[in-house]
Amino acid sequence: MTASSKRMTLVGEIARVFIMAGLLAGVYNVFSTKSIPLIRTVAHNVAVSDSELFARGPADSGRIRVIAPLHDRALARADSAAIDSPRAEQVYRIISLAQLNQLLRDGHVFLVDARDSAAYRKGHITGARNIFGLDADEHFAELAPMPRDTLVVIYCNNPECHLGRMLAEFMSAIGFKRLYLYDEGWDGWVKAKMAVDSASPGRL
Amino acid sequence: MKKLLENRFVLLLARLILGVIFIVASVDKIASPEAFSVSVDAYRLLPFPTVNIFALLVPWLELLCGVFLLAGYMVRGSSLIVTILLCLFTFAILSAMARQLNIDCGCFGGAYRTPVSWTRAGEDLGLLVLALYVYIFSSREPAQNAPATADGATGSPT
Repeated sequence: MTASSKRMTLVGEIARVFIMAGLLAGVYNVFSTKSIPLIRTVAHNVAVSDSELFARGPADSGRIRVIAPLHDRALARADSAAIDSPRAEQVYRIISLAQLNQLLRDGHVFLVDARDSAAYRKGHITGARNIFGLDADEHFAELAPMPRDTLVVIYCNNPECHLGRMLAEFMSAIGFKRLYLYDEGWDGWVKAKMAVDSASPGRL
Repeated sequence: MKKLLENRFVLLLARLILGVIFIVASVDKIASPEAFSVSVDAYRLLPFPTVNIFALLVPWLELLCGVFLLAGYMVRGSSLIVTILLCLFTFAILSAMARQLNIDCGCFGGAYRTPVSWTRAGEDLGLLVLALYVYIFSSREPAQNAPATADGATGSPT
């Protein structure tokens, strides 16, 4: 076998593997229940209006307590349903710095820092608790007893950061209804020279 | 040392290890492509619209190469693809660490969450050495590429 024909068979093998993988991927994606579009589209971050955010809705007056399933299997089902359905409605909405300040003044807000614990210890928004986005499911036992209509605000470093979105999706999967993401995050907060806290060990 | 590397049982063992790891790594990515494309997107290396195509194609490449490495069919092509994939993965992990992105590795799909770290990069480098070894030494042995197992290997893996 000559060198050039050997190279040709190698290229042929690679081409064949790629074509087979492409065909299988395409066919599987068409028939799978969890198919995704070939071209990824931007998940629209929906901002929330002041009137809606600060309105005294039925959730506030009636104190409806939604108790989420405590069952592990139910949790797994809910979790995979939230992650695997790209067409699902946005489970969290974006709030601005001014809106976050207003909420913190009013109280009754559960503020969560989704960054890792080292970043959290260096400094965080005053009053924030720490739940690292990648370890969210380890905090299930602590989150489970909370009323599901609690107003939750999550933040991370900046809009590039994925941890806040992961945490929001997890909390939505276990039943939290009022989830908001402060998208400017820690960077935006520091830039605006707002109150920070680097002392209290508020880890949940 | 050279004699050991040329031993066909050592080569077989390397193929088996690579094949099994790649098959295991592909299963969850194929089962939930959306979770994997979120992991891919988090690396911020690919242009956003192309993330889904990558997330759809790569797991199937992994599965096919894994099956072919196990079956001994098209070993040279498969091991070269595996080598290239591992180069990409290692580069992605190292670049994510250099940019201090605190993201999920996505190495074994979205179900096994583990942050990018030196351990993950080291694992990929180890597999890379193994894949290069299989590629180089299987091309010296043309008998390895006998298409006798072709029919068994191309069956639908789902």
